[in-house]
Amino acid sequence: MDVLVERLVAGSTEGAVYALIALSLVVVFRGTGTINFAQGEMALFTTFVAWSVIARDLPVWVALLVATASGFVLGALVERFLVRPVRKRNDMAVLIVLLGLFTVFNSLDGLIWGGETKVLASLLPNGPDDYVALGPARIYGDTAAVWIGTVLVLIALTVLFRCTRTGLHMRAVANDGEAAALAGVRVGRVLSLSWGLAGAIGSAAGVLVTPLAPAQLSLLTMLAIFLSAAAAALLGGLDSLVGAVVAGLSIGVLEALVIGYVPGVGSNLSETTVLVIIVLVLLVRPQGLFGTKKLERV
Amino acid sequence: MSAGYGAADVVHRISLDVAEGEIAVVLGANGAGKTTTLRAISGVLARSGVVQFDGRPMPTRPEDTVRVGLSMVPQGRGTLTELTVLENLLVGAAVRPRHEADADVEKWCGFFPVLGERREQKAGSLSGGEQQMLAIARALMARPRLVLLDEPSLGLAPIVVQRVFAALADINATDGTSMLIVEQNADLALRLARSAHVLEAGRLVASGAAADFLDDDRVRSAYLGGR
Repeated sequence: MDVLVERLVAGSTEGAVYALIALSLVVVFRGTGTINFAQGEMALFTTFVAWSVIARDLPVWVALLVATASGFVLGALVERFLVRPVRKRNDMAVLIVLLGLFTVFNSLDGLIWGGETKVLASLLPNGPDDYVALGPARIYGDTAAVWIGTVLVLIALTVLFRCTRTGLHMRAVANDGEAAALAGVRVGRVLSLSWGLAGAIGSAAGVLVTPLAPAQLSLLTMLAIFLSAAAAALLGGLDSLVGAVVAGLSIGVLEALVIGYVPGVGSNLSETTVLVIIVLVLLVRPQGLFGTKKLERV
Repeated sequence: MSAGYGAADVVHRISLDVAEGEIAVVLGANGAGKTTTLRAISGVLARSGVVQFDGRPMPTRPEDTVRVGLSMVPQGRGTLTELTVLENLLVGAAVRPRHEADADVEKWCGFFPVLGERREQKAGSLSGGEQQMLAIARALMARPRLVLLDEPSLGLAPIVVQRVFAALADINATDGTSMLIVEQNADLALRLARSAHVLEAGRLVASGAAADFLDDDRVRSAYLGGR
């Protein structure tokens, strides 16, 4: 029983991390119809920026703000000056550009901050005694920050998409860019905003997640996280916010359970096991758990 | 004006006018360049030559043409299928102040009662005729002075086509909205329109009063495939 609770807490924390990154992927996908393969590395870059801010003796929350803001600017710039010009000619080429960015940002991190592992301070108190007991499991500050962050981002995005004019225009562009433009929606502005928003979410996630990550702050921090997050976005249906969160949490918990309960396979192949399960689910539901099935009557 | 895709022009140096408050129709066979013409005017496609609106040059991007008073109902409805009827109408009001949008939603839901009944339904779940009405209402939410309609009869049952055209005549009469309609259904379009233009292989081959085209059997057989 104790193992189960401990595994569930660990799994849902890991899952909340995937969910956050998956949310940023969904925001981009809804706007541009592309998966931003560079999202994880862009987030890692701004997390290094946050580390530099903290290294100047500024509080963690200032670093979080700086990272989030620079993530927004970075995302918007990438859309405006790399994705948009290439996309006009060829959608496939966008994927190549994004894969290129993936390596560019990683190399840039190494160039600026060096290869050695760093420790990023947690936003909430994270000492050995800073925990809330949940049955046999202990929730530390870094865990709580990730949970709270995910919930806040999900709420904010839902309000944005459901209740604001800007959100309506973002959904219109996602549905049919040309029809939206004809109605007067400034499509370019909406896309830059989507990418900026995704960049901001990814960056905030990076700062919240790194204290928890097994690799701490290093060039490898985001790799495994991004793979699972991309799987979560896919499993959730790519265009669904709720889907990203549910799928992210499921994958996190599943991984944790496999590690805890399946001897041998667990420690080495937990991610593989989960990916196999995802492939099986997608065979049955190609549109993902919450993805919209294109419906159209002629 | 000329326009096309890439290096090849599909429409060659055509010239036509739409007078204030009138309905004009562009006829022609498949591939004559009718759709290209409308898409070039609204700025979806690049064009060369001169397009003027109210004596001023027409902007070259769809986001901007709608701001000077031009709306387009693209071929195949162009509704936002994943959004509800109400959301479609609100997107149509993107260029208008927020507080005016609600009143116009009520106006068009009253004019097309079927839209009012289905305002929370996704546009993609509507029938073809209902989607066409929604596309028209959405275009009108921008309070345009000129509406371009690309084959509003496409894929609709004859009785529904009648209803759509009657609505267009009604809107033109009450609000004085000018319209430029591209159609394959020549008879119906000529009855609705005041002036008519015929495109053939990307060139304008005839222009005149719509009534003359209806009466003139030679014109009909030459350009419209007769009956």
